[in-house]
Amino acid sequence: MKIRDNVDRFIKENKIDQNWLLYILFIPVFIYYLIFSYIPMYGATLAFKEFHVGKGILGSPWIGFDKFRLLFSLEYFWTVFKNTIIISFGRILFEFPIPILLAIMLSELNSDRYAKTLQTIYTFPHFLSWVIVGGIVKNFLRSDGFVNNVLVYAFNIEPIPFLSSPDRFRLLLYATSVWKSAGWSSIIYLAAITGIDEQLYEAATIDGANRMQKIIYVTMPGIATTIAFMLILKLSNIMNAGFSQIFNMTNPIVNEKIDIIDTYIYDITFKKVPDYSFSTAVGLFKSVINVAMLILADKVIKKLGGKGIYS
Amino acid sequence: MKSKKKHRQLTIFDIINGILLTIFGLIIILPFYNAVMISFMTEAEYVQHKFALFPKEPTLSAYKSIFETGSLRNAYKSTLTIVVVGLIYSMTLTTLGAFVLSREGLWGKKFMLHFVIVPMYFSGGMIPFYLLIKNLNLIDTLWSVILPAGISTFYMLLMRNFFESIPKSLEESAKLDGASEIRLLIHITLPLSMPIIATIVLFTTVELWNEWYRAMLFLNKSSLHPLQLVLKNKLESVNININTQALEGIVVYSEGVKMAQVVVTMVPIMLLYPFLQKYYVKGIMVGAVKG
Repeated sequence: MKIRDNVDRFIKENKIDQNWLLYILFIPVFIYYLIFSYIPMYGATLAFKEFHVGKGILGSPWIGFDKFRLLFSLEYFWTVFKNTIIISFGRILFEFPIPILLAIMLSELNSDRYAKTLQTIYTFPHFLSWVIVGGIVKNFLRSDGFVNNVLVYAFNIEPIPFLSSPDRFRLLLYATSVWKSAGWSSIIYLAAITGIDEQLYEAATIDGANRMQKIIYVTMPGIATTIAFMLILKLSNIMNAGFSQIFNMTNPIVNEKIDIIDTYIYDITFKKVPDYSFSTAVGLFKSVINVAMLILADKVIKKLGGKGIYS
Repeated sequence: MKSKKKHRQLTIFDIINGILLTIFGLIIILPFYNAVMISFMTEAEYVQHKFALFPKEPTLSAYKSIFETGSLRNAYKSTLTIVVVGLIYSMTLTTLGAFVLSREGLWGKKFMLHFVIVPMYFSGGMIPFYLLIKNLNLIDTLWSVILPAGISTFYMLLMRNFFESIPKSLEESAKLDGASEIRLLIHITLPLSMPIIATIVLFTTVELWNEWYRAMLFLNKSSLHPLQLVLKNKLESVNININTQALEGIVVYSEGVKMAQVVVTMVPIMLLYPFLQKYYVKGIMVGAVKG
């Protein structure tokens, strides 16, 4: 009966008998993650198997790294990979600074009420899907859309083919993303600015600092940590270049310039004869880099004194 | 925002700052305004118009045409089902998870935490997920959209942080009175957590309303398509028609109809926006800047 005693003691010591209800309450949560997160994680082994529809993931035979070899030998895969990285960095370069600028400008506004009103307007598009925003933007920028009509009839300029110039389409992605999300992203910086000690501004005033100097020497250092954290988060997310937006804005003329890993996976799986193993391999390749980046970012943030990304 | 800057004299800096911010505001509003106006234009006027700020003869014909086909009613039905059922399901799961993970001295809690956090770092990808839904026989049912949306780990941890901030003394006195964990959750924790619950309810509602991706992957029957997917398909009709319209007789929707569809998909979010606005700062603050 020794085992029994040990088990009893274990249960008593860890209060499992008192907390049994909590464990039962957790079961649905456990099952949810098991089914919708962990089974697909296991399913990623498909990247190393040759998928047979009849046999399922479990029964399909192992083939090792064949699909990855195939993947790495495809020229178009590297195009897509490059696009993903370029667009992600482009977003950091063009999209990342705008919310910071917006927050500083809003906080410098004389009327708090006007600042609030503007903020209300800026934040709204964040709550719409890219389906809606894509639809509105595509209409707005058509060759006979609002912008081009203004250019042609008010300024007598040739219409600009916004939606069909491959070289400029990435810029259009950044611009529309700023339109949709800059207001939302600025909230976090606004909050950081609000948290700056008022006395610092007063001291700067006494020292004779003007508005610009106060922004540079008080506001900027005050939100530097927030900026650093947000930048690390963005960098760690480099493999996600914005599927929803690109998927809803792309067209055949510009697609090669903005086709990213996620859109590529969708296309090869659902528009052509699917090779599930190959598609899984592409996804796994992306996931692995993604995890590495996230773990790295988590480490860096903890080093900088934060609590880590997700805890 | 800062209080001392009132009664300050307007400088050039202020004026330029104000003008730039106002311009950005107008840039946000203009495309919406334009879309709404086009939805009220006749097809003839749209084709000829330069940049009319108002339709000359406002018409409801675009709206009539989308309301006449049954698709809009079906779409609303799908979307509302997804939102209502999805919200109840997801709030239940999220609350349970957050509550359990917020309890102190629970054996195995560290494992549970890791169990929910690991999926934030690593996912199996689109194909294994697709095959899972297929194997569960959920294709062409709304469950394929609802069931995977059970928990956003981020929101769950947000809620857990809030639960943890509730003073322990309240819980202890309830426990002394012999209240079970479930009664504790219902009578103490939840009533004290209304701000965070409201925030997450609103955000989840928006996300469920905006759902199109899973619907696109898993719902082949067009009678099940939610609003967003119906809109997406209508918007894309133009890409197809360039080459194949004449051949296959695909319906090409006019810009008026497309924009009317945008409006009917967007209006509920606009109605929800005042409430969202009340809570979004809280939502983003509790979670995002903990560093």
